[in-house]
This record gives sequence, structure tokens and C-alpha cells, in this order.
Amino acid sequence: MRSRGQKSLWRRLVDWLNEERPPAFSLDPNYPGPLPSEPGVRCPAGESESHSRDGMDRSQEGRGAKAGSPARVEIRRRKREEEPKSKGFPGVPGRVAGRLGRAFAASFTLRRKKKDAGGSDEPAGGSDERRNGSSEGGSPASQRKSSRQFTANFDANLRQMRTVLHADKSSDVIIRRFRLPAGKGLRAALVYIDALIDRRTVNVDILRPLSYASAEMAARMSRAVADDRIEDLLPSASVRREKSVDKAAEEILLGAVALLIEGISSAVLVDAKGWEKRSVSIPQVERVVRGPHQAFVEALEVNVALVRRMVRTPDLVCEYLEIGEMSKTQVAILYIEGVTNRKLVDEVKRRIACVKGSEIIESGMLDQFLDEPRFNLIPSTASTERPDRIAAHLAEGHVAVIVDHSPFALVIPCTVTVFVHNPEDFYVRWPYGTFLRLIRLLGTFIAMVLPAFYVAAINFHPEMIPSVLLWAIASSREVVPTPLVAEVLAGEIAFDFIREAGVRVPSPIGPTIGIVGALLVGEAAVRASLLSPVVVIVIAITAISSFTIPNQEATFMVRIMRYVFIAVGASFGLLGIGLVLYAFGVYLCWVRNFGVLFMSPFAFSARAGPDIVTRGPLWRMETRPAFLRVEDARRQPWIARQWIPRPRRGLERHATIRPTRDES
Amino acid sequence: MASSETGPVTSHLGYRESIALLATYIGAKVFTSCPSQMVYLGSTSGWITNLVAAGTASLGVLAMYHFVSRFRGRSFQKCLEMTVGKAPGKVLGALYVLFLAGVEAISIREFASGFKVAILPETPLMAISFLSFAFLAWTASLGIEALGRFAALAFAPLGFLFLLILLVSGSTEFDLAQIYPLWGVGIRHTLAGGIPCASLYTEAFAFGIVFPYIRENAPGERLKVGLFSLWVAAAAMTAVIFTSTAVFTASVTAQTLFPVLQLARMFVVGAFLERVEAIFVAAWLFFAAVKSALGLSLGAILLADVLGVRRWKLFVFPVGLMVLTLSLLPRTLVDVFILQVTAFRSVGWIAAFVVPAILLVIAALRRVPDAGGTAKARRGQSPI
Repeated sequence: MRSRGQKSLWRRLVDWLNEERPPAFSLDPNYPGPLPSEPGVRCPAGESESHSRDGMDRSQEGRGAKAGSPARVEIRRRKREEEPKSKGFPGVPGRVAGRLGRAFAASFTLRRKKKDAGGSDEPAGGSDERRNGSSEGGSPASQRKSSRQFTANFDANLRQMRTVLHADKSSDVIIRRFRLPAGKGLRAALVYIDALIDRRTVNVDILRPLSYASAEMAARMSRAVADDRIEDLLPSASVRREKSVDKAAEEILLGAVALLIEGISSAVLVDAKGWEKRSVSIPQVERVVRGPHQAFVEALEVNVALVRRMVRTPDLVCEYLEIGEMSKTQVAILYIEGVTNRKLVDEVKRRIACVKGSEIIESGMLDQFLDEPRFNLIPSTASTERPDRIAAHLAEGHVAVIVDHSPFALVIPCTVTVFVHNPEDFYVRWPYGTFLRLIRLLGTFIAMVLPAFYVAAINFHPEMIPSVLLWAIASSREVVPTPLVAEVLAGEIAFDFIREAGVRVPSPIGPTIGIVGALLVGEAAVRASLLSPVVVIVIAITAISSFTIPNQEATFMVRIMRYVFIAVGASFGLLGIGLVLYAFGVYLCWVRNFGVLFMSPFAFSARAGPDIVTRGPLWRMETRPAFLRVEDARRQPWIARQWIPRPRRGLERHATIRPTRDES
Repeated sequence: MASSETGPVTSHLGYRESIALLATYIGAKVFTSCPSQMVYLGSTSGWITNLVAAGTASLGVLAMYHFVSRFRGRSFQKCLEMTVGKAPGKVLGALYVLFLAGVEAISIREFASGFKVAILPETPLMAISFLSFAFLAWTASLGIEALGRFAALAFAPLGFLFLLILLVSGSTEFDLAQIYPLWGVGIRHTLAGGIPCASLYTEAFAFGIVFPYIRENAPGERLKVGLFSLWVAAAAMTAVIFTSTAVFTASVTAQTLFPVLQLARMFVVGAFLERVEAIFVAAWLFFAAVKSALGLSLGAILLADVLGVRRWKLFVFPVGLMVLTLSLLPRTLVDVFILQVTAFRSVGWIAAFVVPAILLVIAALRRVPDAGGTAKARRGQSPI
């Protein structure tokens, strides 16, 4: 017998099924909440509060107790007690700090304190801002480690540095001891990693001023003076003090030189980085005929500079973060203040701050950490190696993420337009741009379904093919012993082999692989009656079409889907192809990346200007895409061609930007 | 997406998406034998009978609109429970789930059989049904918002393809004299017989379930969605009936299994582009797939509401299996037609339109939701 007040099994089951789930993130202010079918985004428990529309803390709402239940409240209270509290500061609401996560809150707090203390928010060196942000707002692991501090004991400090950097084992860790010309000569040491610094900087800008200081200065250079004036002696753009041993070690790993002086309880960090890096070269993947021939390189600073040269507005904000527990990779988040939706920026920062991977050394790895659904064929970010493309997307209201060591930047959010559009569309006149886009769309479709359609038509629907053509195909296949689907699959796989081989082999013989594959193997296969000529033609057209796709991720998606289509086309004819096309279409309409529908603006009635399938004149693109919910919808003045004496007819009608039916 | 116990359902579907989705749901049967049945009933005046049926269905949609709009965004099941009481409401909701499942079963069976007859004669019916079921259930579980967006994306190009087939196919054999006599078997028979033919638009009943999910930007926009989608479907049906009557004559159309498929078979451009019915069937597939997936979603949502469970997605596959089983019960396609005419077409309009009208009267008499709630709603506050 069930006691009074005890819930029935059914009731408990229903309660469990009805348990609240955190809502999906959306930029749409009208979007009232999540669909249960849509992926929710949750920050790891204890790391950061999850972002909800109503601002409530739902980070702790898990599967156990019901939201708001005493058990849940207790769990939440304990977690809060365990977390180091980020101190709030006037003017910034607590929920903002909650959104950005504990790491950001700490970073903001530090900057605010500096400001309140009368210091400038902008540090002397360009990289110092980044250092402050990254070191103060570092990972929990680094926060745990930061308890080791420098003391006035020079030997102890040196010992700590040796221990942290494993100087006894690592040959490239250099500790250069010397004496400062003060009094009896204060003991000092430089600690750096040989491969990461510029020796000339160390010799000329650090050692020389310290060793050959003037006699007057040397006479006055007591320990207190050295402590007070040491920065003035060093003619470097970026000099700062660090009290934490571990943070100093992190800076050394980024190319800084640590100066330890006897009796001073901090290290003086001097920026002296100087490792080898590749110079800016032409794009390898996204080539254009007309347009800039510059591509990103592996150095973060260079990449940011390339973007800044194209977007010369002070509103372009570049925030630095550090990801990877072990790799400590620097990440730059770029957006245009006053244009990009603030919620989007916060969400990007929150997610990146919540990433706790060990080694993240490429933007492609970060992209995988940011994916929303677990098994998503569509990436949530789009990668590009072109600075001009990043500049264009920033101007539209996207967020860009550049990862150190990666020559590919990420555009967030990824929508279908990123896959279909190409920078060259905008560099040529609009009719040409439209033509290019239509060709590209057709190419994408052909690359995806042509082999499957051929197999389905021959195997299941021969009545669709005109009789003369059907006879020609039948006669060419007469001598081929294998089934059609095997023939097509063999051809496709062979082509993928050639493609992969062409990428991997050394560049001088790369084109040879293509010629050998296309001509010799194809010709030989036809002569040996292994492939029919029509199949070779179909595969060749498919291959050429696939090269029209301007994005690498889109190419991968199309290549995978091609095999799926061939499989269902060979099994169920056009029924299978149609069903997969339908399901794929619905899936694409379902996917949201960072709160934006992937199929925007194709399958969403939001204003996007004359820039969806076709490309209108540039002077007609007065507004930014509405699906990004930008803060400033106006892209350019209403009359962009101001040399025209009179405005266009009917211009008044559009003088103000009005929301469309579904945006209002 | 199903509602919570008391709160209003959140709205997601835009205006364009709602119309495309509902018009597809109501009008997808234009590809099946429904035009033939209408011609069978109304002879040469079948297209007028169809318009009368659509007019009658419009009254049903109006009744449904006034019924569900009284409850300010609550789910259809909640409306039923508040009107007739909790237990009777759940029974009524369960009956509606069965009704929806029946309608969907017939739709899927007709589609599978049509595909087998027209395109894949060698493929077993079971294989077509199971393959379709797998894809439909999966897409249904992605939610009606995704289906709505896809419908809005595909509706214009596929609608254009549909019109093209009608125009090009009919252009060579079109004979306007074959639609005479205009009143067919008589004015009285045409008009009076058109009212029960509203069963042809049984699917318009889905408007009541979708209603709370439609985003209303302006007053009365949801009503526009209901009526406009119904009349888009009615216009497509009328065009098919009119064209096939003019091309094949009324007597032949009445005996034709799939009139639109036959029209597509007449599609000839020059001496090269011909026999394109496979492409046409692909278009049919898109409409039928959206319709069936929406049907499964709505069945699952209603069932979840009946059981008081918020996660309707769990019920998509059970409802889908039930529909699949029902669809495979009739032995032949003829049995499906008989079942459709006797079991659904004769009483479908009562279940779809008359019952909501009765519910509206009951709700008005019982003053549900209570006056306080209505007054609050009028002041723009949530009555909950």
C-alpha cells in the first residue's frame, strides 16, 4: 500500500519527464523559450553560470532534484560556497559577471580596480592588456597554482623558477646571472627560454642598460632605488612586475624575459619575444581572381593586425582569452562595438571561457568545443584564411575568433550564407556576382546528388532518360562486369584517394598526381572495362562541381552526403534521394548556431538586403542582415552614391528601417 | 513544445511559415485520389463542389479559431479539459489522437501505394512504408518549427513546379467544353452535396492544435493564417479538378487513381523532356513528407498533453508506429479508398468542424475561461 502523500510511480515518471531544462540560447528577443527538441547550452557546473533568458541561475539545475526544490537549493548553495567569489564592482550588474563566467569577472574586476586607482585602463604595452586579462582571468588550474609568490630572498626566487620551469632538465631554459652596478653589486638574473626570445633584444635592451648604467646612477642605485627605478632603466615597450612565480613562468613561455633582483620580491617581465614565423602569403584554400591575395599566418598578432588594417575603426574591439589547460593558447575575440549584438558577444566569450580542453592549438579544435548538438554535421563556426572575409563579416555584425598558431580564423555564427557566398562576389559587378553565386549553388547541388541521381535513373527510372541517350549508356555499360553502384562508388572513392594524395604529396609532384589519376587511371580503367565512360564523365563533373564550393567545411559535408545519397539512390531510387533531401532540408532548418538559424536568411523571413541567393548592387545594401540582430542596422547611408543629384524614386518609403512582419 | 500544466504555449511559428505549413498539411492530398472522389461526387461541377466544401470548412476553421482563442494561448488539450472537464477532456483528446492517427495512416498508405504503383513497382510496400516512417519520425521529432521553416522554404519552388506541370500538361489536351454542364448533376445536389465534402479538408482541424504556436504580430493574424492556408489548399485542389476534368473528362477523372500523376505523365516539352513523373513524384514526396511529419508531431503533442507529459518528443515514435501499423492494415489500395470514404469522409467533417463548434457553444455557456481571466486578458495581462 502506498502511504498517504507518497507519489505514484506514474506521477513520479511524469514529474521526471516534465523536469525543467535550461533554454537554448537565442538572439531573437521574440523567441520566448526553447523548443524541447532544440539543443540546450550548458556551462560546466561550477565553472560559470549558464545564460538564461530570464537571467536566472540555472547552472546547477541538473537531472537530480526538481528546480527550486530544497535539495537543489542546497546543492546550489554548496557549489557557490566552493567557488571563489568574483567581487562585483559598481556599475556592472552581477548577472553580467555571471554570464561571462568567473574568469571574465575576475579579469573585469582587475581592470576596474586599476581604473578606480587612477591608472589608465590601457597599459603601456599593447600586449600587456592581454597578459593582464589572461593571467588574472586564467583557468582554475592556474589560479590554484598562483599561490607561489616571489620573496625578498634572491636564491629562493631563483630556486622556485628553476623548479617551475624544470631548468635542470630543460636545456633551452636559460638563467643568466650577473651583478647590477649598485653598491657592492646587487645579484640579479635573467630567466628566459632561448628559442622564444630575440637575443638582440636581451643584449641591447636589457643587459646593456643594466650593466653599463652611468656612474651617477650606479652610485645612487641602492636596493630601494633599484626597486623603484628598475623599469625606467629598461627601454622596452612592455615592462611590468609580477609577484606570482607561476604567472611569471607563463609569461616566460610566451616570450618574456624575467629579471630577478636580489632583495626585490617580484619579477620584472620584459617583452622580448622573437621566434621565427611565416610571412604573410597568398591564400591556399580560398583563392580569388580579384581581391586581396593575403592570408592569415600562424602568429596571432600578425593576424589581428591584418584585420585591423582592413577595419580601421576604433570600435573594433579585440579581446584576448587563454584556452587550453596545458597549451595556454591565446585567443582573440574580435567584434565591432555598437554593431555586433551584445548578447552574441557575451555568449561567444562565455562559451570560450567555459572550454576546458587540455591542448587546443588550432581553431578547428576550438570549433569542435563550441558545437551545440553532439552529432552535428554542420559546424557552428565557419573558418576562413582570408582577412578580407573576416573584415566583411565583422562589418555585418558577426564575431571573429582568431586562435594563436592557426592560420584559420573563425566566423561566428555560421549560417548558410557563409557557405555559399564568396568574397569575390562583392569585388565584381553585381550581375557577375549573382551569376557566380548561381553557378556555385548549382555546382553544390550537382556535387551532392549527381552520382546518386545517375544510379537511381539507370537502375529504377530508365523511362526518364531519352531513348537515344539510354541506348548510348547501355552500350557503354555492356562490357562492364560490375553493378552500376559498385562502379560509381569505386570511381568516387578513387577520386577521393587522388584528392587526398594530391593534398599530402610534396607540392612539386602534386599536379602530377592529378594528371596521373585523372588521365592514366581513368583511361586505363575504361580500356580495361572496369568503368564505363559515362561513369567517368559523371565523376569528373561531380569532382569539378565540388571545387566550386567556397568553404572547406561545406566541401566535407557535401562529400559525406554524396555517399549517403548514392547509397539510398541505389537502394530506393528517387524515393530514397527525395527522402534524404527532405530530411536533410528539415535538419538544416532546425540547426541553430549561437542562437541564429543556420538557414538564415533563406528559410526565415528576416530582412537581409539584396544579398541572399542573388547579389544586388552594393549601393542597395544599406542595412545589415537582420537575422544577426545587430545593434546598428544601418550599414551605409541611405544614399550611398551621393554624387547622384536626386534620390531614387520611392526612397522616402524606406527612409527608416522598419521591422518586417516576423521581426516585429 | 507541448504546454505546461497551466501556462500558455510559447509561440514560434512565423506568419509565412504557418501558412506554408498548414497549406501543405491541408493541400497535400491534392496528389492522391481526393480530386477523383470530388469529381465522382460532383461530376463536371466537382470543382464547384470543392469550393462549397472549402467554404464549409472555413466555417469550421472560424469556429475552431473562436474556441481556442478564448483560452489565450493554451494548448488544444487544455482547452478541451477546461471546457468539458478534466476526465471527459482527456477522453476527447485521446479520441482526437486516434482520429489524427487514422487520417495520417490513410495518407501514408496512399502515398506508399501510389509510389509503388507509379514509380517503384518492384519494391515491397513494406519497404517503402518503413523507409518513409523512419525519415518522417525523425523529422517530426525535430519539431514543427523546423518543419514550418522547411515548408516555407520549399513551398514556393515546389508550388511553381506543380503549377508548371498543370499548365504544360493541360495545354495540349485542354478542352473547356468538357467542364459542361456547369452544374453537373444539379445545383441543389452540387451545393448540398458540397457540405459533407468538407471532410476533404479534415486536416484543417490541425489549425486548432497549431494555433498556440503561431506568433501573432497583429490582431487577427492567426485567423488569417487558418483561412488563408485553407484557401490556398482549396485553390490547388480546384485547379487540379478543373484541369483534369477539362483534359480527361469527368467520367475518366472520376475513375483515375491519381489524377495529378496522370497529368504529369502527359508532360512533354518538344521531343526531349518527357516522362518526368519521377521528378513530379519527388515533389509529391516533399509535400507528403511535410504533411505526415506534421501529423506525427501533432499526434505526439496531443498525446503528451493528454498524459500530462511535457516532452512530446518521446511520443513521436510510438505514435508513428501506431500510424504505420494502421496504414498497413488494409490489404489493397481499394480497401484504403473504401475506408477513407466510409469511415473518414462521411464523418470527418463532424469530428473536425462540428465538435469544435459545439465546444465553442459549451465554452460560451459555461463562461470558460472564467470572467476574471478573460478580463485580465483583455487588459493585456496573462490570465494565468
